[in-house]
Amino acid sequence: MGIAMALPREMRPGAHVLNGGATAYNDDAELVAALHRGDRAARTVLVQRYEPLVERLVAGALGIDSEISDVIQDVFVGVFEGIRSLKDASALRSWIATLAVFTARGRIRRRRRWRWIRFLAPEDVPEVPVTGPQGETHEAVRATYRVLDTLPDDERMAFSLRFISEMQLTEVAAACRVSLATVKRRLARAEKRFVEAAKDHPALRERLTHGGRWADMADLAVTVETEGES
Amino acid sequence: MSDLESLMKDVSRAVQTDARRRNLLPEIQARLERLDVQSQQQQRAHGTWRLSLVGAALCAAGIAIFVLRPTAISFAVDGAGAGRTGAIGERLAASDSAPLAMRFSDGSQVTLPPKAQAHVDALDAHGATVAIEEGTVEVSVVHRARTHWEIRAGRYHIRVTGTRFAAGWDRSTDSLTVTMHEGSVEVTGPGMKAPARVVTGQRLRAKDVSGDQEPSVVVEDATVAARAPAPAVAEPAAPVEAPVVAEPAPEVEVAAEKPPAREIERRGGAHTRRAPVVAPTSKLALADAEWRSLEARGRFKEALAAAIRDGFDDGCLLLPAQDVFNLGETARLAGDFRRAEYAYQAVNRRFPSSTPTSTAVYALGKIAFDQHRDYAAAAKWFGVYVKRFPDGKLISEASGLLLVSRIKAGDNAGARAAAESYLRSFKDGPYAKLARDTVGY
Repeated sequence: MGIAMALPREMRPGAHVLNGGATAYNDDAELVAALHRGDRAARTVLVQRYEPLVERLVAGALGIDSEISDVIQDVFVGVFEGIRSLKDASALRSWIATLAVFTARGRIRRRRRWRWIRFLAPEDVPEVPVTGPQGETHEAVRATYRVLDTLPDDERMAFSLRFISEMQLTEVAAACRVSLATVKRRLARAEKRFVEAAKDHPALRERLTHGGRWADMADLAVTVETEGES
Repeated sequence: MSDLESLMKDVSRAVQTDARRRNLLPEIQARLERLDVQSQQQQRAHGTWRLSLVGAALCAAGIAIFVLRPTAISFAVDGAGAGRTGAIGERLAASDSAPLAMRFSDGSQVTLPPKAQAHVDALDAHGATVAIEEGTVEVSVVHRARTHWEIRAGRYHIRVTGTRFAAGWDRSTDSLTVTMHEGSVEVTGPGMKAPARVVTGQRLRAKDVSGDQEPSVVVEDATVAARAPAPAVAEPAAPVEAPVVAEPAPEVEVAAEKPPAREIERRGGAHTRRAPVVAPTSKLALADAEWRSLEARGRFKEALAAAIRDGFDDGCLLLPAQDVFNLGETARLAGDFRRAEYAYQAVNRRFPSSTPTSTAVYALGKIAFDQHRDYAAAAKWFGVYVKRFPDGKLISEASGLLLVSRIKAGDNAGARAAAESYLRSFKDGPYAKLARDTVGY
């Protein structure tokens, strides 16, 4: 079994045990200092330590996508290119999260621009083989990302970070480099748009027919907007 | 847990499981390793290069003291006969059938087309003065510090730093024409109180005093001046092997918006009109122009507003191909399809073989198809793409959309031709079924 498989998925900053059992770079301060010195082993440790976080954010933003690997690689290339500009080692985690968010958003924007060019007549759209979950969940996932594709980029990122990558509101705000109030406003708008658009997708509509939060969306949006303004 | 949260939990689980199953970590580490190797190789090359440089610099410094004295540049003449060294004042005339090139030791070149005549007036360490006697010469001057190049034609002087342009002199009418391909020049002479600056994409036409006429000078957009009458668009009349469609003419309404030729000075008579002599330099060209940063951030409407404020139309006439294309993209993504078409057409017209031209042509077809639902026009643009860019990255889409456009335009014969062509190249493509149905129809 390789290193990747042996490691727990969500490695938090702190003690890190290498494959051979030796402990190195007990905290991010040591890790960042080593990276500043150009220590190559530190780089491996950083990738192992933060790959799960980056993967969670990027996969949440893009969904089941063949480009995820490319985007994650781009994030880490960005990390190593910019690590010297990071002065506060305690900010490493949030800095990497921000890089991941901005890289994923850049990929979404680029794709949005070029989607137009790949237009096919509706009757000729080929069925693209998709790996991953099958059945109802598969349909729900596909429909979710189709709806997310229609949202403005910033709202989409807030929505996917909060609900799919399951970040806390404060983490979403930090990763997007906006205030908590702004994140709340974006989420409120995104939820509202999502609910409206989801009605056109049977796979989502069936999941959302029980009222509750969805039935009260308009009220919720107003509430959150008000909170955001205060 | 709400319905939303429950649904998103399932979505989250699905996407995370998918990503995890791919086991991306080894792939990521492998790429970083490759980058590391590349970086080390570059550093090694750098180190070797630095050592070599130090040694070479010491040697070169001594030699340079003796060699790099300011000496006049020289030139060789390449024509129908063997190459030879040219001399100041020697009259050079291209034959009736072959061009003649003057190659200067600073890398610059002046090419005389058949029947043109010129001579070198002066040579110094920083450039030369070439006098055109007759014909249109092509000038390519390499820019260096303190470059001092001049082209003379009659009483006109063209001051050059680093640029490419064509200068024509008709001695029978004492008329000068300067067409800029790249860079800028300043022209002085009769009819000009101040130097007239001519920049990329512009043409200056000047006429010395002749009979009872006063000298005149006009700076205009070279593409407008050169634009031929709109060619008729040939509708495919019968099935053909490959789509053969004449390129659609630029839209008349768009062409009408072009900045008119600017008569910058005309002395005497009732039509005297004065305008700035210096040609406009578009703010859009600046690397830090506002529209660029807004466009990069995806704020297309604001980017377009900034571009319009700084001269969108002029930008399409003056900027390099990629910038004009980006203006078109900005307009398209902002929903202003008329301006997008204007920019794409400028790319196609001004830079027929540049990198973004094929995409601009395709985009014109897409806008005709999607926005105007003008399927005949769409078919024409996609036909242009298929004909001119058979190896283009969008050839599959263009071929398919050519077929669909012709069907929608009711051009059955043309559609069958497009279908046959499509099946030859993309028998398993997304439009193959439609193509087979069309052929069998």
